[in-house]
Amino acid sequence: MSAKTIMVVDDDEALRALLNMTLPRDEYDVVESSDGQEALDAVRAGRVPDLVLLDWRMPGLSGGDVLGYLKGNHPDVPVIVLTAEIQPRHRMEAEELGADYFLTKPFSPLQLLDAVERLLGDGA
Amino acid sequence: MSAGPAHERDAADFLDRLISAISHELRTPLAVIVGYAELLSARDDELTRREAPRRILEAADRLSAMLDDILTVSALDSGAFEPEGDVVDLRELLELTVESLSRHEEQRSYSLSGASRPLVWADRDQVARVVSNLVRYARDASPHDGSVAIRVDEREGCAVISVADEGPGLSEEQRTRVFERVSLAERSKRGGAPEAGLGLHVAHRLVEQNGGSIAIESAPGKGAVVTFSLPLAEGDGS
Repeated sequence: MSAKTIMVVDDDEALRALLNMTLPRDEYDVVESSDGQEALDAVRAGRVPDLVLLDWRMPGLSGGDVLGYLKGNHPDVPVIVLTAEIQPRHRMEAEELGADYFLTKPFSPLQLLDAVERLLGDGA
Repeated sequence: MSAGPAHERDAADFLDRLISAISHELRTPLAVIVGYAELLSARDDELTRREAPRRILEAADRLSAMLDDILTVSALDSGAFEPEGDVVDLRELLELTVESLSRHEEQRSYSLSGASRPLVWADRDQVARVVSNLVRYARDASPHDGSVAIRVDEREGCAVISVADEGPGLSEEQRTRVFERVSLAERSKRGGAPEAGLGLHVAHRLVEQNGGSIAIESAPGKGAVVTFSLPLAEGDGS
């Protein structure tokens, strides 16, 4: 079985490293983007991942901008939104744009891993 | 929903953005701490055992610095943060700051250049905060395998310290607003920007309170150099 590719998009290096470490290396290839533009450039260049972990608030293109593009052009790619926002309107906005799952920081890495496995059909 | 007077709506909007920004700033390092702690308790591999404690300590340090900045701004506003003059060895403060911040670093490097060892008359704790905030700003702006370059000079009766980063640099608008207090709330409105945070605002106010000046040079793609100066202590003009 070939490893599935997960794109991690977050401007915080420490958080990207945490997400990278959470995902088992023998099951997933992790590619990191430090902002939305870098992520969209990769996708437009044909490097479409199997799943995206997306920070909601970033410099430049926001998580909403990236999510809108992904769901408009690659609707089958699941997107998990990670946010430090606690107001319900951010969750509603993400859901309206097609987010498949929503986690508020701080989150449980094991809960995140469960969501990844479920969305990729890798669960038990 | 009733619409109150415009100034009340503006104040409510500002407060909403400020709370959102603070929530974001604090929750990100908190997520790193909680996440690595959970991995550490659930896994027993070499990589997790080596990486998690370092990451937890680094994030806790970031969180602590943010809370210090919030409390410092509050204290400055209330006038309860008057400087207490003392002879301060700036180079020693820089060496201590670099030693403390680099303790948990594996890839980022710090350099300290310039031959002088200036003594200034200032509040030691406040100047230590200035130094710490500027080096942290440069660290956070630079890539994790980048470098932070600090230089110590003496010019025209002042100690001059510059801290250079290898970050993405600032636009002209970002540069002119980088010391403003509103940048934290603005960050929420603008979706986040690398210049935001209270650290530089606190540094600006503390430098001015101690009789010095501070400035930033930057351009997109060229990193940033923050320079501050403080008057030398009497008898240290050699």
